[in-house]
Order: sequence, then structure tokens, then C-alpha cells
Amino acid sequence: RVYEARMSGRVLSVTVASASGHVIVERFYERLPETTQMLWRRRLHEASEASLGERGSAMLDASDFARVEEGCGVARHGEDCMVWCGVGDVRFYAVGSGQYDEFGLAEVLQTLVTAIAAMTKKRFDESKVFEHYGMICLALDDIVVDGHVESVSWDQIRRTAKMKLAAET
Amino acid sequence: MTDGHAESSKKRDEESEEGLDFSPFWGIEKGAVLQEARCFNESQLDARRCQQVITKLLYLSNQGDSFTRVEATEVFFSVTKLFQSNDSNLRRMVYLIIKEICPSADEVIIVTSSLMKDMNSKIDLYRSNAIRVLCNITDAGLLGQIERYLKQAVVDKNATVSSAALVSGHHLLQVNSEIVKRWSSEVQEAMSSKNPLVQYHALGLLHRIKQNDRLAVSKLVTQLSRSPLRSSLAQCLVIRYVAQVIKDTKVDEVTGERPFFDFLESCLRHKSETVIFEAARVIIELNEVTTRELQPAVTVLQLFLSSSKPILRFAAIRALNKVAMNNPSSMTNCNIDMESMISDQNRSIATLAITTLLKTGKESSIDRLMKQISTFMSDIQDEFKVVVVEAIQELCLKFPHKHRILMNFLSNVLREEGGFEYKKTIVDCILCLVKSIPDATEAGLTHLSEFIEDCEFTYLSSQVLHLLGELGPSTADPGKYIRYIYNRVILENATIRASAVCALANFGSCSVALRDRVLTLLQRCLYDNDDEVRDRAAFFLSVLRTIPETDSECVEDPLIYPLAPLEASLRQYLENTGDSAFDLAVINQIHNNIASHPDMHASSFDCPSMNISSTKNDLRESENIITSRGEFMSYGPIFKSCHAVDLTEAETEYKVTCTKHTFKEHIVFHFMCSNTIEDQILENVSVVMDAIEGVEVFAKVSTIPLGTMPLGHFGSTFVSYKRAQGLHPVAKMACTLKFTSKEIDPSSGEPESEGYEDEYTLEDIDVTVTDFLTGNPLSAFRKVWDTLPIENEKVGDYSLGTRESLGEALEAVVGILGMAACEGSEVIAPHARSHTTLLSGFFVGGHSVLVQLNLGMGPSNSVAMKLIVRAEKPYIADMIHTLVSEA
Repeated sequence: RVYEARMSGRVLSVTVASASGHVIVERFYERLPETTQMLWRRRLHEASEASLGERGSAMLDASDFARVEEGCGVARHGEDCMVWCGVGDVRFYAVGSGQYDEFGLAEVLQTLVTAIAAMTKKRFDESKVFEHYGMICLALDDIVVDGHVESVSWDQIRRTAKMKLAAET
Repeated sequence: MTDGHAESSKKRDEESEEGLDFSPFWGIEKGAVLQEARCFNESQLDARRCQQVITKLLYLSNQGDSFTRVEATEVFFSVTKLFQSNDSNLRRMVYLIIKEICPSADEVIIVTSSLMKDMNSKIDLYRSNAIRVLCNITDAGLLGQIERYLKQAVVDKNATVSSAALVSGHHLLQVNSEIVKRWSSEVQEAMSSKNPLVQYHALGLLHRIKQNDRLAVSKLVTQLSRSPLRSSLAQCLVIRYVAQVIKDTKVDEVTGERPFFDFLESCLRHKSETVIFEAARVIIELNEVTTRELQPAVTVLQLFLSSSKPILRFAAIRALNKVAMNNPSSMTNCNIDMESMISDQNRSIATLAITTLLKTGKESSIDRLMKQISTFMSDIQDEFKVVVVEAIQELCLKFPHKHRILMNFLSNVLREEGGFEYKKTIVDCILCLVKSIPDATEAGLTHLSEFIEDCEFTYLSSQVLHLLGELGPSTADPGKYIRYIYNRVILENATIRASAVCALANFGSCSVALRDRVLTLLQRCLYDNDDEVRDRAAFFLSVLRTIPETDSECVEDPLIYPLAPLEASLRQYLENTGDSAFDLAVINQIHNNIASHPDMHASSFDCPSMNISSTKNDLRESENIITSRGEFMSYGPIFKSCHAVDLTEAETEYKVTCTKHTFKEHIVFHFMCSNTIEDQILENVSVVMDAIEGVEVFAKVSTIPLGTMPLGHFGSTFVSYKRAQGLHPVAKMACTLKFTSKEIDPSSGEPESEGYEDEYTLEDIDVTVTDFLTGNPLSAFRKVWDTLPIENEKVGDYSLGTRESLGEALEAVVGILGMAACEGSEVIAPHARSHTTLLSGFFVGGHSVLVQLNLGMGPSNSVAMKLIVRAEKPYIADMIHTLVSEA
């Protein structure tokens, strides 16, 4: 852990939530007690509250899903980094450390958002996200594995979630 | 995603129904889903239905529903049946749910063969997913069986399979690092993959495998720094590893060049912003980085400040904030860009911009900056406001002349809404400024007085009232604070009322003109409905009435008694039913008994045996003992106490330490003695001191012996000297421990009636000028310097020999003088060749002494020093020079 924190770090969590605050998909990549997980949710909420409101700086139209890296909000809690964005009425949050800093986490969110956009035909509303719930879980499982970012190619993610690689289609 | 939301979502109660009626999971129940999961056992599998059930299980898990061990086992065994289906989408879901359930070690065996079969499948995605699942659930024992396949997978031509094996390698390092270490050559081969992500994962794993071998890491980094990698993520990793190698490598002494710096500089020109930032971050975090080295990094970070990407702006301003701490001058060009960031929509970025500007700003730009900050403060949360207030405090200490505008700003923000932490930070900041900047005292006290008129925090009100009582009486118009304080007595709760009574009493005691008015107000407090407030009022009334009408003194002075003896004597008084009034003189008597009867010391006050090492606590303890002894009361307050010095070797039969306490005209040597030999008792213990040097300066006044030297505890004996005024206070004392030794009769355990006199030679004690000098940090050094007579200025040049750095030389000189550095002048810029430090102190008797210390370093690292001393008395300036020349 000491090595990881110092040299490469890890993704601590990725969360997909609705505009009303309902957690849709959430993954913690460290075994944390429920109270600590709650604490992280609160930190994310407090840090992102202003920018995820109406016309907030981290709010993107559904059609702007490819601009996550340009619009996402960012803050730090100690050495841990928090990145978030809102696309349509869906919110995305990620926390990481070390190598997975602002840039790494923004890339994770960009990959996830683009993969979801491809699955939902660019419609970012809760009903569509719920409709493709299983696929979104698979996409996230392909992007972050055990706290490490395994893939940041959204097209590959989209295909692997459907069990179809480029060569096999 | 508030707490409330998080909780409600986790429990999925009625609240979550609101707005989620379109959710396919609406009204989902764990019991029902587990029932549905029985479809996994059907002979004719419905792949689509099975996927839906798995999705529901995943949803439950994501919502915080946990499965019991029995439920998990049941689901797991059912899921294993799904391997019979050849539907690839279902298989993908099966992989995911197995990882989610995380079966126990004895259950894993059920799926091992199925997963191993998939690991060797012709379908690439089966292989990659099976590797991930197997590595996730496997233990060290099973790892041996699959190692061969994993090694093959690392160099698989399919990037997904190779990535899966490499990422799994990271996980397996925690399970069995030895096995992963055997993959070195395969991982090395994967590093040359055309796929950037494979290259990135391979590099990360290879470094972890070699991390304990410095030479191997150094070779790897050297090799990689010569040929840029395809993956920008991998390039960032290389930069991080380079940073580690630089830390472990010394700078080339001949050329002064830092290894790998050229590589870092070349990375600043990389096409990826991530790589550029990583290189800039590493450069600014280099040890003792020079301005020349910093410049290219600061330039790229400055460009990032105007980027449209918030992450880039945030990362850049955060990095520049770090630069501002040590090298504010190297980033003055960025000030304009940073000023425009104050209005950034991201408040983290705006706050960082402000705090950085406050560090790099010049005195002339403060007014403009404060105007901008004032409008910004109302838009941000308390946690950001706290950071800004702390930065303002630093700024004010740096530019004391600007205290008016900064104090006004603090007073304005103090009036606004805010939580306790925020308000406490502002009050602490004003308290610090009031104590550090004499000119700011009155303004600060007025702002604080107004603040307590409408303060909702008891703690802060009490703190402010205490400060008003402490500093208010010495201001030009102390009467104006009385109204604020007495208002608290009328309007506040008991805790604040009690604090207000103490503050009022201080005004009464220190100011003759106000005493009558204060007595009238305290008289009214006697009718308060709180016991504590009444008691305090009655006490202070009686104390104030005993002070002669024309005298002014602080009421708290006569109350300084050691707490433990005070408590003991009060307990003793309460236990006795005598009618006589409590006599404060009893406290001294009790304390003297404690000092001479160590057993009582230990048992009565539960004081653990003291450690001989000199610590702050020991020093305070020694000061308490001295102040409680009646013999030294006439010497006045202690001017300075020096840390205890051991006078005996370790592991000897006796342990003796000496603490020097300097008074206005006297010096008291406090010896703490302990016996370590069990079968003897030492009585009538004293230290005989003979002046080897300084006979004409110090004249012995008294020796106070110790009745019995305790076993395992420390007892005290004292020797006091009077100092001849105006002479150089330097001496060397030879010390001998004298005592009467009595053997303990082993049969009875009692000491023998007769003993013999003995003595034990102790180390000599040195008395130096430093013992009579104490530090006095000043925020306005120049002002005080100009008030001291120029005819008392003494200048001298000294050579300090060859030193590694100016910092080392400065540390040595400051250590000798024991004076306090002012205005942050003790901080020397890295690689500086010349530096001026300002020191301030008091010589015993309250005489100011100031020093300007100019250090310069020659080509062969020889350090020369020019010492300019100004003091109230010319002989004090001479003493400082003698002290330095003799050191």
C-alpha cells in the first residue's frame, strides 16, 4: 500500500448517481467500512455541490458527453483527488490517489461516459442508464480493475461489454 | 449524493420510490431476487432471464445490500451451473457476479476447472476475463497451478489478454510475490508491445518487481529515459520513477548538474499535457531546486493557468502554490494570470489562486488584492475561507505595515455568518497579530470587543475576554473596554460571565484610575445567580481592596502557586474541621516537605518517577519547584531556565542533573539527585560548588541540602549565587556531591543508625553569557534597531571556517547566541552565497539586544561573518562579541 500510494496510487471509487442523489452504480476498490464510504459520499457532495447545480461549471449537455475532460470539476482532500461531472441528468464521480490524479480520473470518467453514451445512443437520463444497468456494470469492470485503470479505450470497452472484440465482429 | 441520500439509497426504503418509478428495479426485494436465482438451476437455461437476475443481484450489491454467507454460497453454487451455457453475454455476467460474491477458499475449487478451461479458450475475451476472475478469487496454493498459463498470457498477442494478465500481476504481488517475480522476462517483452496500455501495465509491474533493487531500477530508468514510450500514461510513470532515482542520487559536485534533469526538461516539450504536467511537478518538488531549474517548469505551468480545462488549471495552480512556499520570487510573472483566476467558477481553483497570490504578492499590491478577495469571500465555503484567513495572517506578519487594511478585512469577515472553525481561525489570527505587531494591538482589541457583542460561541467569547483583561489595561484608553466587558456580565451565560469578571478584575488591579469603578461593577456581580461568578467576584473584590490605592499590579501574580501542592493543602484543609481561615503559606511548607521526602512526593501526588532526560516538562517542573520555594521568592521572577544537564555518566550509582535558573541578580543551580543502589540510604545530600573561573563575578548565597536521596526517584538540592552587576557573567564551577551513606541491614530492612560521610565527583558546570540571554522575536526589527543608541553599536568580522551551507553556519551561530530570529530572516534561499539574519533578545534585567548577522560564502565554501550588535548598554554588545569569538 505504501508503494502504491507513493508511486502509482489507485482509484479509490467510481460512482454513478442520479440528479436527485440516488446512487445508481458505485464501486469502492478498497475495503472501507460503511461509515468511511458515507464520508467519501459527503465529501464528494460538498465539493461538487456548487458546480453540479443548474448551469454549474461541471454540468454538460447530453450531447457534450465527449467534453468531460474539459468540463469536469476537481478538488482535493489531502493527497486524494476528487473529479466529477454531470452529463444530462446523470452524475459521475471518481476518487483516486498518486498516479490516478486529476488527469487519470478525468480520463476514467471520460471513458465511462463515452462508453455509456454509445450504449444509450447518447441519451443521458436515468431511465436509459437503468435500462443498460448490466452493461454499465460491465463497462466499469473493464475500465477499472482492482483499483488499476486497465483500459481507457471506450470503443474497446463497448465491444468487450458485449463480448465482441474488433477482430471477432 | 448527500448523506441522507446515500443512506436512503442504501436502504431503498419508501423515499427512494420518489422519482424512480421508471426504474426496472423499483420495489426490488432481496428475498424475491434470491428466489428468482433458482432459474440458474433449470435444465433448460434461459440466458436472457439469467442475465436479468444477475443484473438485479448486482444492483442489490451496489445499493449496499449484503448477502449472508449462506445466501452467497447458494447463489455461487447456482451461478456455477451457468458455465453450461455457451451464451457469451451470459458468460460475461457470470464472471462479474463471481467476483462480486467473492467465494470462500473451499468454494473456489468448484469453478477453478471451468475458469481454467476458459483461460485456454480460443475466444480472447473468455481468456482475459477468466484470468481476471481466477486471479481475483485464487489463493497462493492454486496460483502455482495456473502460473504457466499466466506467463503465457502476459505475452499473448491479444492486448486485452495481455493487459488482464499484467493487471492481475499487480494483484498477485500481494498474494505471492515470488511467483510474479519469475515473470520478469515476459513482462520485459510485454513492454515492447505496440499497444500503449500493455506497455503501461508492463512498466508498472516491472518496476514493482524490481523496486527493491536500486541498481536495477536505475538501469531501467536510464534505458527508458533515452527512448520515449508510446503511452503517455507510461511516460508519466517513467517520470515518477526518475524522480525517485534523483532523490537517491547526489548532485554532481564538479558540474553541479542534476542527473536526469535534461530528460525532465525534454518531457516539458511532450505533446501530452499529462506528461508535461508530471515533469513540471517533479521539477518543482526537487530538493534544493534552483531558480534556473524552476524557470522552464514555471513557464509551462503558467501556460496551463489559462487553459480551458479545469483539471489543468487546478493542477497548475496547485503546483505553483507549492513553488510559492519556497521560491515566491521565481513566479512573479504568473501574478496577472493568477489574479484572473480569483473569479474562476471552481472555488478550489479560486482559493488556491488567492492563497498563492498572498504568498507572492508585494506590499504595493495588497490593497488591490484585498478588494478582490472581499467580493470573493461571500461565495465560498468555510473550509476555503479558513485557508484564505490563514494566508492573510502570514501576509500580515510579512508586511506588518499593512496591518490596518488586513485587520479591517478580518474584522469585516468576522461580522459575517460562519461556523465555529472559521470564526475561531479569524479570532486566532487577530490574536496572533495583536501579539506580534504592537501597533495593531488597539485596533485588534476593538474589533474583538465588537465581535463578542454578538458572538454565539462561548469558547471564543471567553478567549477574547481573557485577552482583553491581559492587554486592555496597558492600552491608551483602557476605560473604553469596560463597557464591552460588563455588557457580557449582564447578557451572557455563566461561563462567559465568569471570564468577564476576571477581565474586569485585571483592569481594576492594573489601573488605579479605574479601580473604584471596577469595584462597583464587581460588587454587582456578587448577586449573580451562578456560584462560580459570585465566588470569583468575591475573591477579586477582596484582593483589589488589599492593594494600596496608589499601586497597580496584576491580580493574578499572587495566585501563582504550584497546582499539586495547592490542591493537597486545600484537601487537607477541608478534611480538618478547624475554624481557622486557609493560610496560603501552608502551600510552600507542603512543597518543601515534598522536595525533602520523595516518597511522599510519589504517593501523595501520584507523580511518576521522572526521566533524567531534559524535556520541556522537566524544565517546567523544575521552574515550579523553584517558584514554590520560599527561599527564592525574594529573587523575583525567573528570567531564563536552561535545560537540565547530566553531571553523572550513564549507569553509575548516582544520577545527578543540574538545571540553571537565572534571576535578575541571582543564579540558582537546581540539582535533581537519585540513588540507584538498593542497600544504602544517602542522607544530608548537598552539592559543593567551587568556582574555578569567575570567582569575582559570582558570590555564593546559600546551599539548601536534601534530607534523603531517594531510590528510583529524584530529590532536589539547591545552590544559589549572587551576580556582580556589569561584569562578564562567565564562570566554571567544580561540583562534588556530599552525603552521609547508611547501609541497610538486610535482616531488618532498616538503615543502620550510624553512617559515614562520603563524596562523589560530578562534572563541572559552565555558566555562559547565553544563560543570561533570551530570545525576543520582533515583527518590526528595523523600528526597534533605530531606537537603540548608535554609539552602543559594535561591529566585528569573523571567519566560520568551511561549511556545507550557509544554513549550517547560521544554525551554529544562532545556537551559540540563543536569540530569536525576526521577520523570517532565518530562512536562507537554497544555494544562496550570502544572507542577512536579524536576531533579537533580552539580556537579564530587560535590556534589549539586537544583532544583524551578515554571512557570506567564498569559493571554497569558507564562510565569513560580519556581526553588528546594538544594545541598550555598551557592555552587553561587547559580551555578545566575546561570546561569539570564544565559541
